[in-house]
Amino acid sequence: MKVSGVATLLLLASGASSAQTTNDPPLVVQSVECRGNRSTSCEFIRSHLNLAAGMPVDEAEIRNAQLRLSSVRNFEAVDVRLQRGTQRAAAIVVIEVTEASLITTESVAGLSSRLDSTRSVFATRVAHHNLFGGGETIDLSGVAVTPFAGDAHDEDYQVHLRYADPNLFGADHFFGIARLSWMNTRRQDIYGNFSDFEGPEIDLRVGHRFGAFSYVTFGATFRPKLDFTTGEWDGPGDFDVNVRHNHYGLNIIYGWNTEDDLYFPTRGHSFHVGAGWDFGSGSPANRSHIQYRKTWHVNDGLLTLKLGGSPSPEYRTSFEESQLLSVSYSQALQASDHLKRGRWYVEPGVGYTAGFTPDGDRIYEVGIKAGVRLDTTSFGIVDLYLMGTRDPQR
Amino acid sequence: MRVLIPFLFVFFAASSFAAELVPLRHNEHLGARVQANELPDGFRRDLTSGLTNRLMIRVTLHRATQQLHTRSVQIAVRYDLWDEKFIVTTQLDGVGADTVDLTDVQQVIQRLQEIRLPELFSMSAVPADSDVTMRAVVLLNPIDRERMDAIREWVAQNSNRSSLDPAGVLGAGDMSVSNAIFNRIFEQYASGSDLASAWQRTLTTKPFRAHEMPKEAR
Repeated sequence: MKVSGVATLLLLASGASSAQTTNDPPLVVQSVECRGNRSTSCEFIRSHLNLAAGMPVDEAEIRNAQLRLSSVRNFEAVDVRLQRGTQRAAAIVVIEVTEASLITTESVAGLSSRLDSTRSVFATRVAHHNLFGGGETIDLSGVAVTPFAGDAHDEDYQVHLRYADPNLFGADHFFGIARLSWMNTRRQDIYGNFSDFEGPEIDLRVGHRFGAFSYVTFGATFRPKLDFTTGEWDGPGDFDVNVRHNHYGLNIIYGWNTEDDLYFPTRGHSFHVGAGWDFGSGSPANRSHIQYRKTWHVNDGLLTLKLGGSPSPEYRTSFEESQLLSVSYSQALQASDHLKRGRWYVEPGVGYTAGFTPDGDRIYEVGIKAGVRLDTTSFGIVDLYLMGTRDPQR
Repeated sequence: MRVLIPFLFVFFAASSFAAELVPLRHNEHLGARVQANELPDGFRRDLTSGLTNRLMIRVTLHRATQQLHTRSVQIAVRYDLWDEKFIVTTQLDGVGADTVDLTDVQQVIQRLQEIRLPELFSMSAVPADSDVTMRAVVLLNPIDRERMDAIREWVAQNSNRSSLDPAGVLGAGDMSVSNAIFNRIFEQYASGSDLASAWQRTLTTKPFRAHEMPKEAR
């Protein structure tokens, strides 16, 4: 018999045991109590345990509830124990929680050489996730892409302040997001295609969540002081320079997400598609209008297909560099006292840039990214990577 | 890059522990001792939770890269809240329960730190002419795949709707402050394990000739 078979049999044989020996009367739940919860209601905690007063104590269900509660981002640790009730056959189920820090951080450090531009990439983000006690989030993030070598130029500096209300006007299914940003982005490739954007941006969104995993958002963008110029080869001998004046933008986005984790997905997929006038107020950042990601198990690792980068770029103000279409292979790293979880990954991919060559040819890139993503106890989520791409036509 | 190397080193340095797996020969059997088995922080408190704590040890016998035999040992510890005693039950491959009552938590800890498993493999089934090794995977409160799959299904449907983030999609874009324990279990399944646990250790003996070992009295 295989190891797993033996182990499973063993678990099944023992898993149904109650907290009493066979000679004792079966234990009954006298009550379910919560400890350690300051900002989370006991009702919310109890809702994860399918046991109530008067029901037999079911150890398997208690362990399952402990795991379910452990998956909830509200808690850093969950401990369940029994206490003597008023009678011998009665037990009090005590759920003791350690609430998670409401402040989270995320950092990215990378070095990438893409299409004749070599640059460093640094991004950081700090967020508070329960500003007024109702799950309101406020976060501040910054991105710095600084070129230091190469014939092309790719420079990007961004600061974002975002506020999100998960229950807009108290409604269960509606949410709202307001973002204030300042961006300074300048790009120029070796053919002369360029984009130069500088200015503040205000973005307001209202979203509706429906079904099991779907959502739709309606957004409006305002750029009060815009300095935005682009120049692109549109065809052989045809170079267009545009000073853009779109101070306003409107957009609609539909998406769903069944992934089990944003940073370390092991299953499920996410998708979103957007449309509108001047869709993607972050268009100077060259974000994709379509995004899809799906993850599969492959032997000891995970295979992830990505189209248009990582999920939820319409909400995230953090930065993740990737190509338009990529396939990533990753494996888990050993957790330790300092590392909650982690993965190394390699990610080959392909893409193309805006603009053409003076001969009218599309500019493509192929390349590979490799790095580690860590969920650390001290620094939050940390991404470290190297990336290199080149134009396959040259 | 020079800056990154020590940084990475800090994170990849696995937590060290001094536990050891030592083979022993008892009667006509090959057994093992798990010595200095370090238990996780908070385990002492868990022992008095009134819930059953299970330590599962999967011992495999290998010749070079070939796995020859497997035995599973389970030690279940439950604290009787009223009689204030620990009931320790040991099973081999799910049968032959051996039960002992202990009154002091330190006695339980000692019993789990120095585990003697005298009769794992019959000597007749152990190669006489070659070196063998034993490997023990020690798991605390393991969770089988079927149960974990059910919980994962629940998480997929509900994790976006915590009280901090009822709208869900906000969190999907921002954070996952999930419990480290849950994530460790998650990653073990992601890497193909059939059984996972928030705490586990893998111990391996040095190569040895089983038939040349002296017999050990109990």
